[in-house]
Amino acid sequence: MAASEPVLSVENLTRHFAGRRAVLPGRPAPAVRAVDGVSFELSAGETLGIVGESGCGKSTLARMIVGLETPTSGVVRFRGTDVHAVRGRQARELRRRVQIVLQDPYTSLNPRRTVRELLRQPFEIHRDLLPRKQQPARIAELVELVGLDPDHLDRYPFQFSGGQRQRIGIARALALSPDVIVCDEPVSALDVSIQAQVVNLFQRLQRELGLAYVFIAHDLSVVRHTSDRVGVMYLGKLAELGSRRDVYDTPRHPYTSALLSAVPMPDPQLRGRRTRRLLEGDPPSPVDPPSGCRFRTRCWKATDECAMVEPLLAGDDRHRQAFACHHPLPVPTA
Amino acid sequence: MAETMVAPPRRPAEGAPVLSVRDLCVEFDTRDGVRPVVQDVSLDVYAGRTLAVLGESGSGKSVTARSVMGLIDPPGRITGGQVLFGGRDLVQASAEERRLVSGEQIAIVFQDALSALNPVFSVGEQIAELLRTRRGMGRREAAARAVDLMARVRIPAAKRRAKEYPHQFSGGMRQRAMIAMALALDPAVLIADEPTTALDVTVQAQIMDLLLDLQDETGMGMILITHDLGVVAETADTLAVMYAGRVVERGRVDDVFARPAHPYTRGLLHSIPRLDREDEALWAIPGSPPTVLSRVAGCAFANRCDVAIDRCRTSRPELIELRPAGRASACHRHEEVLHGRV
Repeated sequence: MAASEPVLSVENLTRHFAGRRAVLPGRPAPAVRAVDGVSFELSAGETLGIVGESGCGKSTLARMIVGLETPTSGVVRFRGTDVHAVRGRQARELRRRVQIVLQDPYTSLNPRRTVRELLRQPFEIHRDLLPRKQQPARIAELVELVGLDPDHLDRYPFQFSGGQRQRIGIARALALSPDVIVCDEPVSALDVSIQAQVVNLFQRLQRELGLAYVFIAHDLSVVRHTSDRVGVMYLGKLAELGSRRDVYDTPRHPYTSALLSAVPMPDPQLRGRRTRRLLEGDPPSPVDPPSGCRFRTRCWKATDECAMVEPLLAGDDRHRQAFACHHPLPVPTA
Repeated sequence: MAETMVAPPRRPAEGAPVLSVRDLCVEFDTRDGVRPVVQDVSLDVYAGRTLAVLGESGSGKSVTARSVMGLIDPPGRITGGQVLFGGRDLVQASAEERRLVSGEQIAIVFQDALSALNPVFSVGEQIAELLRTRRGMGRREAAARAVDLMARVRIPAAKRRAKEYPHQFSGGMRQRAMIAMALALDPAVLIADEPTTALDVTVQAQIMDLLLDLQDETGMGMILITHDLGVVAETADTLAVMYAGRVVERGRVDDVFARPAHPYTRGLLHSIPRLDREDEALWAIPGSPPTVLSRVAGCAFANRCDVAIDRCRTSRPELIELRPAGRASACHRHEEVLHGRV
């Protein structure tokens, strides 16, 4: 199968944060290894879901992809160009192609600007993109695209509900006609009845505009619904990466399996018929992750080998299921 | 790290409820005038059973929980109804009576355990303090009992951890400490207000498992305030769905999920993506939940409802009892919705 060139590729991406202060005088502050060697590729028009619990590094990953955070090492490439190596006009051009939608539309929009001003801003930063005269038409188009009322352009963010505010955030991300949108928990702050509206909007926009998404969320059901492929993160590393079907139906990494089994199912008929594996404790701190496999302290299959040898993500991540485990779960025989 | 069975459904409760809310009304004074936040809410909680109160932001579910606990302070006030417990109406009870019931026989666990715990006392001290003031225990006895309680909520190395402070606890462990504190005085009713919303999914599963086991051990009745349909389906026995300050549907959980009798409940059930199947597009309820409540003439859900008729905009549907017993819906078209005819 001839693979199309990826629109975005992430190679061995790592971000360490220096500790804020030394615990003991004379000793260096411990570094938080928020993201530690993550690699994947994203094809045009595709959605890659990233799931993981708090502290797994998924938001830091998002910020590095769009250039809000500088990697400690590793490369983010947009159509082959290193996003963090370019400067000036070329950097601006790349930024425009990879946009972000944040979780919290309550805090990510400037409360003192109207929707019209908020949507005009991207064109003020990227001045060469659109003649000033054409801006009103483009803003009207964006508002229409995300399903906002054109009569509300002169309102302020506080005058909108959470779902509508997220639509404003999406319209802003779309303003510069990006190829990739990184969505960082885009529906988790919204009410249940609104989540479906916004998820459907993301899917419609993808069909109409051919966007590729990196869809980051802790809600495994939403990620299953939106993603073509899924990566599972644990303490800064990818534990598993594969097609949606493979990852959800035949998880190979014990963490993926435990994560899936922990999700409560909205079906009372399954009570007394479904088993789940309860993990013990919380994820360990990324300041001092366990040696070897980072999941081993909570894993029921862990052996001495897991403490000594770090399992690497094996398998071709573009077409097959890859997992980082010495003792992967068997594939059930059909 | 054992495999555990998702708890099977329980038999329906028999006998009288341990706690009943009758026609509760709560108002809040705002700059724009008096706003009704909870209107005519009635709920029954049975010993050893869990009632889930399901609703979105602004539905009044947390205000209802706080009213039961006696935690409504100005600018809010209870303007009508009763909270019946142990043969008394707690709404009318004196402050002293109220104090003896709230926190002792009715306890609450909040979503945000970090702000509910005192940062300058160790977790063990905080639990022991409760036992000393409320149970008159001596210092040593209370400290030992606090460690027992922490072990009971499965905090590992409870004796050592009792000496630690809240910031040294992870989110899941803090929520366990809150549960230990709530259980300290053997309450007859536990109110869990979004107890797992701030937690990761693997930790949520641990906490819900713990709460169900503790309920089986103690026979306490539980009110579970949540927006999560999955948590409701797996842990609750009965369900009340709230919308815009009112109960719009109630019944046994399996019954309501299988055959919703209100278009809002039906819409919610359809709008969530499922982990165990792939859907093309999600059903979406249009519009948003009302943020500022007012006394509208008709049904508060009518402007978002896919089956609303003219009558829904002019006359408010009462909560009507259906079969089986305990089932009710506040919809003019409940028969048609229930039988899938609209």
